[in-house]
This record gives sequence, structure tokens and C-alpha cells, in this order.
Amino acid sequence: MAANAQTIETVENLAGEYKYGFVTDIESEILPKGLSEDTVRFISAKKGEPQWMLDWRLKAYRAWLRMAEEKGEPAWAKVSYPKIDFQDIHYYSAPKKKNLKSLDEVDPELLATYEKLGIPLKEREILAGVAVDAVFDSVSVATTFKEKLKDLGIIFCSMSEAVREHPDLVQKYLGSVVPITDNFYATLNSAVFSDGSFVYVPPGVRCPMELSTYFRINEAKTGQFERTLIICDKGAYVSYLEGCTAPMRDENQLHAAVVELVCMEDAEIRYATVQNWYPGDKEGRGGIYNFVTKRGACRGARSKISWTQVETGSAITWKYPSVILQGDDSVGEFYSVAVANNAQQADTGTKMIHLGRNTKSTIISKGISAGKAQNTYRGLVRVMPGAAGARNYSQCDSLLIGDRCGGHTVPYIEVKNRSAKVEHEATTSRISDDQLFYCRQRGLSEEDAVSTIVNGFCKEVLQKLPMEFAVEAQKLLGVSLEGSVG
Amino acid sequence: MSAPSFIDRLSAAHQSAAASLPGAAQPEVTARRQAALDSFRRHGLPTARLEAWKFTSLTGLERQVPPQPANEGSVDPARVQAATLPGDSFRLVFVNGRFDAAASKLAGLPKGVRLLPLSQAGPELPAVLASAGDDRATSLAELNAAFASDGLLLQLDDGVALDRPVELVAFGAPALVNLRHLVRLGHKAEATLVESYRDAGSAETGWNNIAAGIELAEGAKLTHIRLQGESAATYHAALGRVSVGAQARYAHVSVQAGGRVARHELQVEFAGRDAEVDIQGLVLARGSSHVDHTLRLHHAVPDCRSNQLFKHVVDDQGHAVFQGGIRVAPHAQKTDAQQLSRTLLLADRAQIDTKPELEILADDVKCSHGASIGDVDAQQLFYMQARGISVAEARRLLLSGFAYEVVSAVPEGALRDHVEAFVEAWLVQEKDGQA
Amino acid sequence: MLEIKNLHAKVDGKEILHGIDLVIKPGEIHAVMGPNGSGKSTLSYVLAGRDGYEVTEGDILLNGQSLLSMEPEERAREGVFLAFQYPVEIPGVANATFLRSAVNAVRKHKGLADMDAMTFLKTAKAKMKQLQMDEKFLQRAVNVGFSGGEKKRNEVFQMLMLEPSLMILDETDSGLDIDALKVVAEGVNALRSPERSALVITHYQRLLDYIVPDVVHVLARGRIIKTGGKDLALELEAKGYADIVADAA
Repeated sequence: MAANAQTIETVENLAGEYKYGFVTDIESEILPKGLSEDTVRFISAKKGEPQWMLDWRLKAYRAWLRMAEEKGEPAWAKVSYPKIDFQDIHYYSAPKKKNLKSLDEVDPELLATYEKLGIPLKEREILAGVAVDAVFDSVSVATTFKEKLKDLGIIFCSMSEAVREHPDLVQKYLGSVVPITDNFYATLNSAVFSDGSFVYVPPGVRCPMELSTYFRINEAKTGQFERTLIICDKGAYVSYLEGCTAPMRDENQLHAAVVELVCMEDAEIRYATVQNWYPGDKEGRGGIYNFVTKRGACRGARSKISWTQVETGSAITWKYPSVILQGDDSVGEFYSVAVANNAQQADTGTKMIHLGRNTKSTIISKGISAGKAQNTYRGLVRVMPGAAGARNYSQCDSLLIGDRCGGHTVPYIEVKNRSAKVEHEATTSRISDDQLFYCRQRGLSEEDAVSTIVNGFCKEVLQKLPMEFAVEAQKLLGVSLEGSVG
Repeated sequence: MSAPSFIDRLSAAHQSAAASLPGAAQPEVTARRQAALDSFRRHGLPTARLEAWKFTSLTGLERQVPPQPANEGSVDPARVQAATLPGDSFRLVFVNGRFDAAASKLAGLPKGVRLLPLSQAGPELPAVLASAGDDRATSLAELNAAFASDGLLLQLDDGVALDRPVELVAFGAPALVNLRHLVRLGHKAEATLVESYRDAGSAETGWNNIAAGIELAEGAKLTHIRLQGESAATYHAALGRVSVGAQARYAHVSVQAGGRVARHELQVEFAGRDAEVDIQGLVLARGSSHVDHTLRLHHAVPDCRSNQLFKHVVDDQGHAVFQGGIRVAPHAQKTDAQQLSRTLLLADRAQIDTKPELEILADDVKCSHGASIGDVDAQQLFYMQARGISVAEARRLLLSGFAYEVVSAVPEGALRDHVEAFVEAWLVQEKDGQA
Repeated sequence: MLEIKNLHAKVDGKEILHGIDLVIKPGEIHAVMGPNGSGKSTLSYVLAGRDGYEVTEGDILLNGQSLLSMEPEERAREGVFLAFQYPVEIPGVANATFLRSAVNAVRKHKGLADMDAMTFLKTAKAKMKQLQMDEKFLQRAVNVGFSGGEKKRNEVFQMLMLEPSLMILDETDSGLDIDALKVVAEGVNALRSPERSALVITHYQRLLDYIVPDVVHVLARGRIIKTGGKDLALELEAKGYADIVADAA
């Protein structure tokens, strides 16, 4: 257990050489499997974190140990998977186990998918995990970009950098929306988070461009425990795009990220995700367990948080982007498309907690199941006694393709205020033979017909995505559902 | 030594009561009762940790109710009169968990009909007391099996259609009452059952723990009205389990308008194709009444239809709960399952928790649910005001209209009038000028 | 153009068509008339290749090429257009999006470049004008909330856009008032050309006043029992099906 004083020292010595942070080849730094206080100390030391950050992580780690002992992993979601051995995971490792030299070594099926998505060759190499340092200088891209933002006072950097450069902001807001002990995976993330994005938009500033992890793609791959924190100060606005529109290959099994959004008076945050982690093969072997905690707090009056997600990947998705509507007249939105094909399992939805007066929330969820997949919408709308005039509208539709899959809807609606108005609708339907035949009679191939109908089904959500994102998401839907009919 | 626990005291009470329970002379029955008690002891009362009990807590019960079966008692005949149907019916009245022969009407039963209180049954007892499950979610039904002191037994032979409704009227007691019912309709048999739980006029806290089994053979038809109007001090927990055969029809209307904590859980299993189930519920909650409807409809076979409409009117610090689960099994194609829940919250501290759950494992199905929560519609209110109607009157009219959609599911005539009177009795107590 | 040879077809294991022979030359319009249950709709679905409509004997040739092994979309791209008796609703998918996908699928098959959005819109609007359809139909979801007449017009509109070589109209007149009927017929007539043929399936003679057929066939109990000129339709109208069917039996 005590072994690692030396390791820490080594890392600290190394730190000097890591000016360029995430782009350097980190192959040699894979920490042996296992989780202990030393692991946490190692990660913190590796990042050159101050004491308060290490203390925060250790507090989380100890809380997690208690949780693991008392209750274990949450079991309420409608997903099943073998028990995770948390000692059998690398908590600090580069995802590229194999350092592929060229595209020739990459799984041809994966390449075919990229090609269908129309991803440029260079990006395909990055995505497939081919050594990229030479061909893609993400640092320089990010840097140019950052300069522009800096002029406006916007901070956009990695979480590691924020801990070092903006400790006041991080200390004030980290864990303020998703507390250390929020849930099993969030607590684990708090202890061992590797990296993620940090955004601060100062009062009155409208961020002129979509911020995206796309620019830091190399960095995004460093960790299976990302931590993102976005703060939008009074009257500010930011639109954030997470992940890539392209499938990211990730060989790790567990992905437990935490995203926290803080929205002050009159501010607005739009957060869009297109998630296409590796879903495993058709029989359900491999694939990512995507156990993510995302939550936003509308702290100020008239603030607005909007989550849009297109979830097509991962073997298991466990994810409930939520909004706490504290400020009067604040607005929460959740627009979601979740596709589960083959052996995928998705249990996803949202929570809208109405605390302030005249708060408003909208939930539009479209679940598509195919193959043997199970797709569950699980949502909570809670109107607290003080939330006079609260409004919620929820619509949860399931589309089933084939007779071996399942589509489930589990909405919880808890209302403690008479002046609230809450409406919920849910339907389940399938792609009918009539619709398919009709499209095919007009010349569409069967796959295009499915894709057309599915896109129509998802239209309300896709419309909420930024333009380029929407186009890619549409293609992704088609690709994800290939082979689902017939 | 610490004081014996609630459960230990219940067990002790069972020891002394066992000899006087129906079937005490049948070894099979006493063994079953003991097994049921053991199951209850293992699991204890359901708690909020159980998903099915997430919104309804029985914690007050242990403190407030004596853990022993009720003694004999009597009820003011005027109350019985008020609670029963005016016209022709077959009637079983239970007071304090015991059959009241004087208040009942069983004369003139047609051929092919077996209707009697459980306390007079013999060979049927093992079937009546059959287990509903051995876990915490069904522990109350096991407690019921251990203690069941009486109940209704109705069996119709194939092809028999009862022309008069069967009435079951039960008055609770300031202790534990366990009634257990079994209704079996043969092939193409038809019946109407009105099941009522009424306030005996006592201000003391009681506990009615009810279990009912309903089995409908192929083509059978049962219209089942359930009226719960317990006192504001009473705990009421009921588990009904219904099996619906091919081409059978089960129409159920459940009105709950009383109780401290009242829960009616209904599990419906489709056992044969082309069957139809229509369930309508109305909750009227005021004071600090907590009223729960929990449903689980299992479409286990293809080609069946189900429809659920639940309405809630919640005033004061009332709390309504609606959990409506629909499961469509793999291969249960051509299922049509619809569900709608609507709620009017009339006071600042009134609340509703709803969980309309769909679990769909077949694709060629028509399933949907909807839920709406709010106050009475402002436009409708204004329209009526513009025609000269006072706000208080307009609200009352709107409430009646809201409730009537469920009431109108009851077959027209004396039966509907009876249910309507039950609902109106609650509504007229609504405070004037509630705005 | 179209050659149907001794066509036998089964639906749900039951033979509905018992040997149909029919030859339509380029430029010709043939009407198939028959009482309810005679197999009219089955014939249209078999031609379009609907799943569950099994050809057990015989062949269908389009320009000498057998259609039997082709998927519905391949047939459509080869020029077979079926105007449905009951057009299908597709929620959320705009008419324009849907139709442009179809137009471009057919163009691609012909080796033509995609029709760009501007050209498509211009063409579509012109055709809609011809059919006296409101342009807003382009943005509405396919057939969702359309009246019966609007759905039928939409079918003809799609036909004008796709310019098929074989038009099959399955009871396109049902549910139309006389004005709508004229508009629809004009749309079909506008497509008449020496290279294009049509098979008009109808119960009533009415439509044939506006779309004048070269040949009329009477279909009964899965067989063509009589073939004649356009006067046959008038004869049917006057005498009713019963007599003709009885005569042929």
C-alpha cells in the first residue's frame, strides 16, 4: 500500500517535462490496476494539484468506500451487467492500449462506419486510436481558439489547468451542483477524475462560438472519469457541444463522468451531447458502461439551462441530465434521442426540480429500440411547495423496431403546489410494415426508409441541435440502426 | 429487556386467535396460516424502500393501531342502511371482521351460485388462503392469510348470470381487521359485485387489511365497483389479484374517499386472448388523508385490451398517489393498453405523486399513458362566471363534472345512482368559496 | 411495357389471383374494373411487390424484365408507381423531405445527379399549382391530418414529381368529389405520353369519363373474365357486375 511515495516523487519530477499536458505520449504512465488512497494521491500528484484538491478527492474516496460497503452500486435502473470489479480498472491510463501505426491495423467495420459518417481521413485516424501526435496538433488549434475567448474574458481550459490557474472559481463551484456524495459513480468520479473541461463566462458576455471538446479531442481521451464544470455568470450565454459527432473508440469498460452547470441570473447555458461510444458487438460483448451524472443549477432568476442529447452508443447508458430550477422564472429543458440496438441497454431521462416561482420545464424524449435492446426513459418532475406557477410539459415516445426489444417509460411526477400545471404524455409505437412499404414503393431502400421514419420520429429533438451537429446526428441514427430491420 | 416489537405482539395475538379462526379444525388450513405468519415475520411491513411503496408509508400504523384482531362489535343500523343498495341485491355485511347475518341478505340464491361468508366455508379455504407471494411487497397479504377472520366467497358455475348485484359491506374496528375474499366466475358467467368499506362512526384508529382474489374463466364478465369511505383515522390496505381468462371482461370502478392512509393495490393478469379490462378510479382526498392506487396490469398474452382512467381531487393537506404499471410481455402482440391520470389540486398543501409506468416488450402494440396535474381550468371557470355563476358554484360544477367521467363508467340505474350519491356526499362538504 | 403472364398469387396462404394475363403496350391506359373482393387491390400490391403477396405461378415483365425478384423500391425506381387506395401517414416527416428523397433515389437509379433543393422546390410548386394544392402541404408531415381528398391529390402530386413509366391507380377516385376528381384526372392525363402506360383500378365507371382508357378489363374472383374497349365500362355501369359475371360463368 505504502509503495507509492517513490512513484509520486517520480511523477513530480516528470511533471516538468509535461508542459504540453495531454498531447505527450503518456503510454508509460499507466498506473497498475486497482483503487486505493495511493491511487488518488498519485492522480492528484501527477496533475500537480494543490492540497485542497487532494483533500477534496480523498474525502470523496472515503465516502465512496463507505457507499461501496453499505449499499454497493445502484441497482434501481433497468439494466443488467456483471458486477464491476473496481480493483480491476486502471484509474490512470492512456486509452490506446495498442499504438496502431496506420489505419490498416484498425478494425475494418469501425472504418466503414466512419466512412459512412463522412469523417475526414485524418480524423478517422485519431478516432481509431492511431498515434496522432504527428498528424494533428490539437494544442495549436485549441490555443488559437483560446486567445479569441480570452479577449472576452471567457475561460475555456482543461479542468487540470483550471485547478492550477483558477483555484478560486473551482473551489467555489466544484461539487456545488453535484455534491461529493451525490451518488456512487459521482463520488467515485470526485475521487479519481482525470480531466475534463472548465468554462467560465463573465457577466454580460455572450460567447460568440460554440465551445466544443472537439478541439481538445486528444485530451478527451485521456480519461474515463471526466469532470466538467461550466459557470455562466449574470446575463451571460454559452453553448457547449460535448463529445464528438463521430464515434469515439474507447477500450475502457467504465466511463463515469460528472458535468456540473451553474447558471446565474438571466444567464443561459445550452449543452448538447452526441454520444456514440463503442456499444459492443452484436452479441453484447465489450462496449462502454456509460454511468454519467449531469446536473445544472438555475441559480438566478430568469436563467435557463437546456440539455440536448443524442445517445446512440455505449453498451449501457445510465444518465439523467437534470436541472434544479432555483431562480424564479428559470427554465429547464431536456431534449433527448436515445437509440439502443443489438444488445445495448439504455436507462436515461432527466430530473426537473422546481423550487422557484413560475419555473418552467420541458421534456421531450424519444427512445428507439431495435434488436434485443432495452431502452428505458426514467424521469422525475418534482414541484416543491414554493414553486407557485410552475409548469412542466413532458412527452416520452418509444419506437420499437422488431419484436425482441423493449421500450419502457418510468416517469415520476411529484407535485406539491396547487398552482402548478404538469402534463405528461407517452406513447409506444413501431415502424409499421405499411410505412416501410410505402417508402420503399417510392424508391427508398429499406434502410433509408427506416432512417427516414426514425428521423421524423426524432425531429423535435434534432431541431434543437446546432446545424452541423444535427446533420451528423441524423447520419448517426441511420448508421446505428443498420441491420435492425429484416 | 426491551418491549416486544409490533411484529412479536402480532405473533402473540395470532397464538391466541388461531383457534377461533375459520378452518381451525383443518390441519391444511392451520399449516397454511402458520406459514403465512412466518412469511410476514420474515419480511415485516412494506417500507418506502420498496419501489411499489415509494410514496406510501405505514410508519404511523405501528404506533397507532393495537396489534391484535378486533373484538366483536356492532354498527348503527342507519349506517348499514345508508351504505347499502336500495333495490334487490344479495348482501353480506361484515362488522369488526365478522359476518353479520342479521344485516345480510342471502335468501333465494339461484342454482349454480355459491355465495357465503368465509366463516361458513370449508373445502374452499385452502384456495382462498393461497399465497400471493413470499416477499416484502406482498407481506400484508400474508399477514391477512394468517389472520383472515371472514370474507366473501362467490362462485358462479359455467353460464350462470346473476341478475342482482352482490354486495359486500364492511365496517372497520379500532384494531386489526383482516377480510379475505374470493370470487370465481365460470365459463361465460356474469356478475356485478359492489364492495364497500365504510366508516363505523368510531374516532379511534383502526386497520383494515384486505386481500381479494378474482378469477374469471373464459368469456366471464364481472362488473366490480369498489367504494372506500373509511374514517379519517383508519388505515386501509388492500391487495386485489385478478386473473382474466380468454374473452373475459373485467370492468372495475374504484372510488376512494376516506382513510388516514388508504391503499388499493390491484394486480391484473391477462390469462387468455381477446380479453378486455377497463379500470376507472376516483380519489377524493381532504384533511390529511393519504390515498393510493397502485396498479399492475400484465398483458401476458396477445390480443387483449386494457383501459385505465384515474382522477384525483385533492384538497387541504391531502395526498394522492397513483402508480399505474403496464407490462406487455414478449409476444403479447396486438395489445392495446391505454392509461390516463388527471389530478386537480385544490389547496396549497395538497399533493400528488404519480408514476405511470410502461414496460413494453412486444412491438405491435398500441400503448400510451398521459398524466395532467393542475387546478380547475381558468377559462372554463371564467366562461361560467360570464354566464352569471358564482366562483364557488362554478368550481363545484367543474368538480362534479371532473368526477362524473369516472362515475359514468358504472352501469346506469340504481347502481350508478348509488355511486353518484357516494361521490356527491364528499363533494357537498367542499368548502364554499375555495379559490 | 407491362406483361402479366398467367399470374397466380396468394395472400395469407389463400390464392386470390387465379391466372391473370394482361399486356399493356407503351402509351396505353388500361382499366381494371371489378366488384369488391375480386382481387383488384391484390393485383396492385402484387405489381408493387408488397410483402405477404406471394406469386405462386406466372410472371410480371416490365419492358421485358421480370419484376418478381425485385424489392418494392427497385420496382419503383424502374418506373412502377402505385397510387395507394389508403395513403399512409408518416408523422414528423415533411412531405418535401420525403418526396425529395424519393425523387433523388429514382434519379440516382437513372444515373442522374441529385435534384438540388431550389430546383426541387420550383418543380414541386409548379406541379402543386397544376393540382390546385396549397404549397403549405410541402411542409406538412406526410399525409398526417390530410382529408381523404387531400391524400389522393398528394398521391397524384408525388406521381407528377416521380414521372413513372407505369402508373397504377388503385381506387384513386374513392372519396373524391367531382371537382377533385377532375383535378386528379387532369394530373394523370398530363402525364400521358407514348412511352408511359397506366393501369387504372376502379369500382366505378365515373373516373373513366375523365381518364379515358384504351382497354377495359373486368376482374372477378381473381380472373379477367372480359376484355373490351372503353364502352365495356359503360355497359358495366348500366348492367351492373352481376350480369357480366353471370354471363362469363
